[in-house]
Amino acid sequence: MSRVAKSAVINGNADQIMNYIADVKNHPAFIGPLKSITNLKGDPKKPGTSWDWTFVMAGAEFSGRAETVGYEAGKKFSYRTTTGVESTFTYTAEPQGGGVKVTVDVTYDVPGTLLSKMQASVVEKLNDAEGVRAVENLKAILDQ
Amino acid sequence: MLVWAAAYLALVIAAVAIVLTRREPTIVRGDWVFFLTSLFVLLAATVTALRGTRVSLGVLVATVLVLLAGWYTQSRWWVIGVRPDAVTATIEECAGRLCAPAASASGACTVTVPSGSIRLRIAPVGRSTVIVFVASAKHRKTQLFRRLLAKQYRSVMPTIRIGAPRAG
Repeated sequence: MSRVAKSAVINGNADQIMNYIADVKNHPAFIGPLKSITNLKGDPKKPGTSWDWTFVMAGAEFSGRAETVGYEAGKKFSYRTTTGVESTFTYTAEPQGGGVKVTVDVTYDVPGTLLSKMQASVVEKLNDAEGVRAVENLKAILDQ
Repeated sequence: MLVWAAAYLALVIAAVAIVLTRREPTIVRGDWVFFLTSLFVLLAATVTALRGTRVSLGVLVATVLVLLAGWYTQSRWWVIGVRPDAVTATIEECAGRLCAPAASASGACTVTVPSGSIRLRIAPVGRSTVIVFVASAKHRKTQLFRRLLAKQYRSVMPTIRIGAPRAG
């Protein structure tokens, strides 16, 4: 199991920030390689709500499904991918100074099949440089 | 130099064929057209110089004209197969996802970002649409807006699709 966490301090309200993050249709706005979220079934704040995601990397589109694990207003939003590489994304918010420290924490298993390995490379890419960019993008979008 | 011109023409024809035969809406980004054209011209000029081939005035003029045309397209994006009203709705949706207020008028849209605004002109081109970036304030949100808008449509470059999600 691998794990990476990236953070940024955002000037704003924790409830509004987590509301924005919990709306998974917003994710293509701050995650560069994430092209789209489709087939969202229900409220993404409710555990078990699922959707399809599509990443684009180096001319290839990787698609899969994900579902909500949990949501706590102003504190935490978590979801896991349910096809291909198994990963869990957890976004947390905690007060820091005059702002809110937002952290994205990703845990994932490197799987055995070729397709899953290819999808794992998507997650790895997100974890490193793209993870930093994602939280910086969130700051640019949500800073007040 | 004629070989380079023929190669460039072949690439343009291939791109046009891909776009016109597609059913999905496709975006042709002028900034990428200019970037790729400049790269191609640079490559052609470098190879020609290394070979010591003399370049005629006509070729030089044609090259400058191609680069000028590329420069002209730089601030324009074409959305093939989508009408302006649908493109405007998509622009507003993208602005909303970025918490950036958007105001649309007939054939124009303004997206407000912290350091200014992104002003767009939206015009029909047959059954498609051209978006002209009239002004773009320097802010990370501007980059995010452009990227998010581009994501709403397929790019000209063909993509391999892996692990398609189940239907429904």
